[in-house]
Amino acid sequence: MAKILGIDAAGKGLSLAVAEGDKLLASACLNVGLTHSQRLLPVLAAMLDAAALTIQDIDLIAVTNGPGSFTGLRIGLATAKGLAEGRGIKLLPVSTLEAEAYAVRHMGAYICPVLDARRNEVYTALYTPEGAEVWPPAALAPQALAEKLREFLAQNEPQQVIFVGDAADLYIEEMRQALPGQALIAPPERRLFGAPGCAFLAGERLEEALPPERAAAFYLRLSEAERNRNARLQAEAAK
Amino acid sequence: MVKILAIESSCDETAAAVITDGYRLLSNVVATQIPVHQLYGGVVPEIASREHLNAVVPVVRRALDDANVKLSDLDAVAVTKGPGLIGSLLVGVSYAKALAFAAGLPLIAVHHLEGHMNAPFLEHPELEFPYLALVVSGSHSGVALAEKPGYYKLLGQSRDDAAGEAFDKIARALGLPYPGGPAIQQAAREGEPVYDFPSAWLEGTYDFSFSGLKSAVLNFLNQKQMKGEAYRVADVAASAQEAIVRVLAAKAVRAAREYGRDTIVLAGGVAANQALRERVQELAPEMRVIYPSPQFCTDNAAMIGAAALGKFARGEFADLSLNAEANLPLYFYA
Repeated sequence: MAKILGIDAAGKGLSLAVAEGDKLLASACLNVGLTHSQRLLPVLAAMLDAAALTIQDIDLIAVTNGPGSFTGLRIGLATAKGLAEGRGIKLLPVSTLEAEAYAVRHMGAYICPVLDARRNEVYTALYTPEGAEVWPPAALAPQALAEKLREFLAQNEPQQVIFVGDAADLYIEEMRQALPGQALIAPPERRLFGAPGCAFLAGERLEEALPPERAAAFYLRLSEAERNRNARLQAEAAK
Repeated sequence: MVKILAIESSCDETAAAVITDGYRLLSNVVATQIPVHQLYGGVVPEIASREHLNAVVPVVRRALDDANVKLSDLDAVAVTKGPGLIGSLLVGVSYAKALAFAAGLPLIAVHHLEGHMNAPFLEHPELEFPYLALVVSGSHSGVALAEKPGYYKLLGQSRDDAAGEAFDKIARALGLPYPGGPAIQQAAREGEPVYDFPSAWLEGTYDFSFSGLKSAVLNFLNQKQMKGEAYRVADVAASAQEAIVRVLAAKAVRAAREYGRDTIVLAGGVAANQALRERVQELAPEMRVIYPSPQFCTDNAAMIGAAALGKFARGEFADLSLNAEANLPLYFYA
């Protein structure tokens, strides 16, 4: 059975995991500030070593490819590409939101991952308690998200939603006020670390594995320079 | 035979090269992003980072293919650790570390400016330390003593815009394309330096300042426009180039004389400027003036490989916690 290395460096937390079938062989999680580029490979080396594994034992690299911190995504993806290319194996990108939602599946609540998108927005999506996508990924203001969830939960069972992701603790009070009795938050050990979910989800969709050069980041947002240029071109076209 | 794969991604070129003993290049691949950034009149860091992530795998693979080597034939992976655009650097550093780890190869970290200062060895392997280096590019302008491999002392540097940045900004004001250096050089060929734009001499130092020149050119253009007076772009280009070149050349030559060096190495993208090369040699006819071909002046991985050869020989390896650094001083850097 394939051993899959999962990598999640897209948010505040950094996590790595090795999954084989439905077994989690090893995992490592750090939440010590944004030092992903310094920490990722030393933690990987230590984790594999502790599990009596080497990188040669890994059959597939899975990595969260967004949305998330632009820099974090690139650290994760560039590392994943280097590992895959160095080993001559394939790479499987997994949505950061889906990977983080995986940690709180089957808890009887809709799952709403929220990742810090700055500019007073969160990257978010909505999943059923079993993990199926209800809303596709989007960048939303927390107030807009709360309103959308209020309307949705009024018409759907179960009437609860659980928040996960690096912005969950930031907005949970606001969500509890907007959604009285309906807003739950993932426990800290399941809130920030997408690597196990990333590895397990990859195992369910092996046919989506790509040669490393074809794995791309899913930023969800254009760069600021592109947004400004598009706005200028639109304004000129409107004249 | 030592074989090193070198990766460079500090600005807007994704580059990889394979180099072996005697500074012999087995391959040299550069994927430039210039057309992408031309839309914005200069390098956009976020876009540069995105382009690097897409380009890094094919560029490195092509460098290995061109050199006809496999990863297992290599002895080390070298990478630019800084200075530069942090997002761009992180792609190269993350990729190089992971590739080295997965392939079981040692990792070598190279200072970007050490790379530039070692570029002349690619075409002049007989060059010997010590020498005086004038490193001038879109992001750096400095005068440095290259003492011995791995030991460099920065004598002075730009306090504001780099020389290449000044070329870019002046080119933009003149309606010339990005990058500004080649565009201004091209335009200047048809013109004469009839306008006396200021050079900041900062006497008693080897520092530079180019923001005053940029402002002077912008003011000149505004005034001409307000008064409805005509001017020749070629003459403005030639005059601005003269103001940049005379101060760069004079300080490099003065430093070489003060420290008793008989060789001046010109490095970095602006070293491709013909007027600069000629001026340095004119001012110092007794000295050997060495500059790389244009392809080794602009950012490339061959120069990173050239610097890495010495580090490999001296056993200077980096560990897996290597980080990219946007600002990295060059002072007896080893």
